[in-house]
Amino acid sequence: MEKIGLYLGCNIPLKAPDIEQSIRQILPPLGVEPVDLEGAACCPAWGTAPSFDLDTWCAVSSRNITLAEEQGLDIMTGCNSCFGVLSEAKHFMEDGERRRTVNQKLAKINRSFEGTSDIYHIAHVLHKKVGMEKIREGLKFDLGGLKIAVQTGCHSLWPSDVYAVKEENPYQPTILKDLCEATGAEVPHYSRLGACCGMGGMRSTDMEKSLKLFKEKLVSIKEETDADMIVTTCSSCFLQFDMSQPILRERGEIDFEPLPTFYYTQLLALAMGCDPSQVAALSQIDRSAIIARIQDEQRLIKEVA
Amino acid sequence: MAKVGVYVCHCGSNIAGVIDVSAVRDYAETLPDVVIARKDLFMCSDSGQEMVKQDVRDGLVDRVVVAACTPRTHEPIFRAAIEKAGLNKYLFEMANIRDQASWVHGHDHEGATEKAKLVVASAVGKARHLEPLEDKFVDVTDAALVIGGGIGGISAALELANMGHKTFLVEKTPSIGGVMAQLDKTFPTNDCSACILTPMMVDAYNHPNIETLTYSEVDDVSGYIGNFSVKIRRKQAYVDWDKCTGCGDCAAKCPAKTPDEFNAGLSDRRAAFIMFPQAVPKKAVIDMDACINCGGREIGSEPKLNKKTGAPILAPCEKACPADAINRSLPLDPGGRIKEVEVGSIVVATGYQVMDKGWFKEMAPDSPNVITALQLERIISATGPTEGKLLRPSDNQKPKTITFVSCMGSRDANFHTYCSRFCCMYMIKQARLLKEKYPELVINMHFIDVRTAGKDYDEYYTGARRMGINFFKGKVGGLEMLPEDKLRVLAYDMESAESIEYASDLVVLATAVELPEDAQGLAQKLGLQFCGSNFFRELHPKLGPVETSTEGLFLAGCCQGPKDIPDTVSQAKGAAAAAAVPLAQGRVKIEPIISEIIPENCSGCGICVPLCPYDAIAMSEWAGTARAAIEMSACKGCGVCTSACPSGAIVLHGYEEDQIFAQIAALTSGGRNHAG
Repeated sequence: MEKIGLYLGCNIPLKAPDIEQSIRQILPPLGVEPVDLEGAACCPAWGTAPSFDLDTWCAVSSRNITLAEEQGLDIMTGCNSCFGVLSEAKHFMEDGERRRTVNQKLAKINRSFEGTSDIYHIAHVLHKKVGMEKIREGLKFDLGGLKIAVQTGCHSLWPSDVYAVKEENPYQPTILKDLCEATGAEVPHYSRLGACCGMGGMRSTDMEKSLKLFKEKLVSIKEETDADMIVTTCSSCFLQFDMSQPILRERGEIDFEPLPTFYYTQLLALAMGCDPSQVAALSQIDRSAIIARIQDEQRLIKEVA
Repeated sequence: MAKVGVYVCHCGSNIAGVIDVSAVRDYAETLPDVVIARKDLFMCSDSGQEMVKQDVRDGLVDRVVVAACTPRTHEPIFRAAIEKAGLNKYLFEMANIRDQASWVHGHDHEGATEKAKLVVASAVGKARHLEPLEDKFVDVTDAALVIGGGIGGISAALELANMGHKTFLVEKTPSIGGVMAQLDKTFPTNDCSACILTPMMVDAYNHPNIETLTYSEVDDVSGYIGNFSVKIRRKQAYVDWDKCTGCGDCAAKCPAKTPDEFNAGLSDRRAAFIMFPQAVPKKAVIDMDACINCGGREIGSEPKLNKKTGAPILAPCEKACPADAINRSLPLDPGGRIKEVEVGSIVVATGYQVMDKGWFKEMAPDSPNVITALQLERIISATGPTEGKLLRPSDNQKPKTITFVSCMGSRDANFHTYCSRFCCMYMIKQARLLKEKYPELVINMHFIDVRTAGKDYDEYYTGARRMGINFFKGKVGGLEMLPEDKLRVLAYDMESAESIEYASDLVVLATAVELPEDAQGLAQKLGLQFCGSNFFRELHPKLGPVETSTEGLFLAGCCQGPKDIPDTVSQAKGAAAAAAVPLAQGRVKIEPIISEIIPENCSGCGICVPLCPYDAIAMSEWAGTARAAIEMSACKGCGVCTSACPSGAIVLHGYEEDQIFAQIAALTSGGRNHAG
């Protein structure tokens, strides 16, 4: 079984521990053993060190990366922000001058950044290391007939130059589409696929602007795809879709019921037959109906059943 | 003792604005063997030149140093001046105190003045040792080669041919015509491109002095001005062009399809094809990369025989040809054949390509309704895939809204920083033609700036605004694919200072002009250099716009930089005139600043032979032993052999050892070494 360092971040374990559960449950059957990076600190998140001091950012990120380096492991994270922060820090550390400066700081805690660990998003691990075929083999339920609108999230796309795994065209990402289609579901295109969901700094500083942007995206999904659900590989996008749809509905700004939203590993865990009370338990939007449809007996795949 | 005259130029304020010219003159006067030192506002002016000439005529000086600008442009002027005054013109040395002092040290007047003194001292040091040299002449082959059969190449070839010079016109595709043949109409007069181009194509093809070689490429070039040997590869057409009548029956029967380059990939052509209806020459070609060998037999093998009748079973193209021009059983060489020609000068007019939309990932390149402007040109052309009707590629429906986006890949640090120059005008042309034909069509044009400099161009643009075409100033950030293959345009409008969004049925990208990929190989064969924008470099951006650093090699059209048809034709006629000069003179001068072997000193080791970048050195026999020998007409005077010769047996005239050591001595002694 291939071992990979699991960098959890804060959003997933604190706000969506069921996503963490889904990650932990699906990986071993797919041949990947997540290894906890004990002692991991904040990545550090956008708006903290990355906003004011590049060396501090790189020092904190590099310390996290060395936790994997010392075990000879690559790093995997489910959070787009962590993925972006760690990847960009690693990119900055390719500059010799920066690496010397940061390693002087790390020397005080007897650490040294070597650059030997690659940074992966869990979607990349599933897409490139596990592969579609293995995912299909691991399914218990076939999601044929269900329609999914995908939301990749910005920080696993941009800036594309610094990422170990790149989309062929970041404006038209396909990794998450492939992953969802592997479950048998249909993933129609919608025009605002590449648009921002309005989460992150915008939501904390200008809620109305954030909702305006989010609504444009949501309406494009509803009108153009009439999807049964939204699936994302970004834990922040997940929170925005789950929190903000009920707000728009309550204000009467949308005339349709909020679309149930899953993090991708939750969808996969459900399709693999995991217990929804463990892997998809927490959401503002009621997901019981769509979960029942996903795990409908009629969807059972015979060979597995 | 040499009598050196030093003449220091102010060059207006170019030099005098930084350097204390009087101080340099005063200093020059103190240098050994300097008998006269003078200064003038413009040494290259008539009065400046006269000053030098008078001193020569009066017998005051017999070596001349002008401290001014670059020898690249001005050395010939002063050489000619002293020659007129009766002095050997190679007794001249230039001290470049503009490029090497005033321009680069503009912030440090004192330092620049001191450096100018050094540069002058160095030139004087060399001048004291200069020896008279004599020009040599070689005869010229009275023929020219024009590479590229677009409007530039055709214009240059016609011009040369009309002056009476035999001209070979080489074109890589099966027909001459170039990009202009693909255009619908031309700005700013909206006259039909084919109507003005086709007669010129026919004129060129039928001209008694022009030999048109289409479906051909330049394989190798050797030699020098006046005497180039060129190997031209005539690609294998698999059709006997002596017999082909251009009827097109082979294309009608051919089942193999491949994207049609002439229609910019918007439609398919057959593997057996005639490039376009007005092709010149109108000859068929079988594209073997696209041929599916539907007849089921290898090229060069005999056909099977019908068991009943005994008649040979021919491939459809063979059977279709009424002129018997296709015979797949012939052992034709897939590499074609080489034709060797001798010419005296060469005009390169290889044209351009536009960037593919695939480069612009934010512009929904996967959508069939995002097209390049050249593709739109084919759509609105009567000979195009829709016979001139505006129909969008996805569903052959007429669009209601069409969007133009300028500067795709031009003026963009990610791709090309230069302006492609003619996109603004052709977009306005396309918009005007569409608006005239379809008044109800909504046309939105997005520009960073509208650049319509040119005779009658801005009037053409303001006319377009009056026609109800919408112009937006600001960039288009991206396109999003909407249902029904529409596109959402995400743009910024600087006039309202707002982001705008709207749905469009068809989006046209004005993609950048660049050199075609195969230009790199041609540049290597010809010894062409590239400029910062990655086009072929001209000799001088202002004064040598058609010449190159290789004598006898000239440039015309977009291979030298983006330009529209009027500018291309002007440059082509200029290049033709320049290329005709050596042909008209009948002989060309070989500068005597070349290397010469002193056979007494040569050991015959042969080290110099492979080092020569111009293949000018060969081993020969001298007094019964092996010696290196330099072919004078091929030597460019680079000096590689001179510096490499272990016996010191090679002299580079004009840069002889004592001359160079005198320069070094002057420089290393801070200009104070007056002994040398």
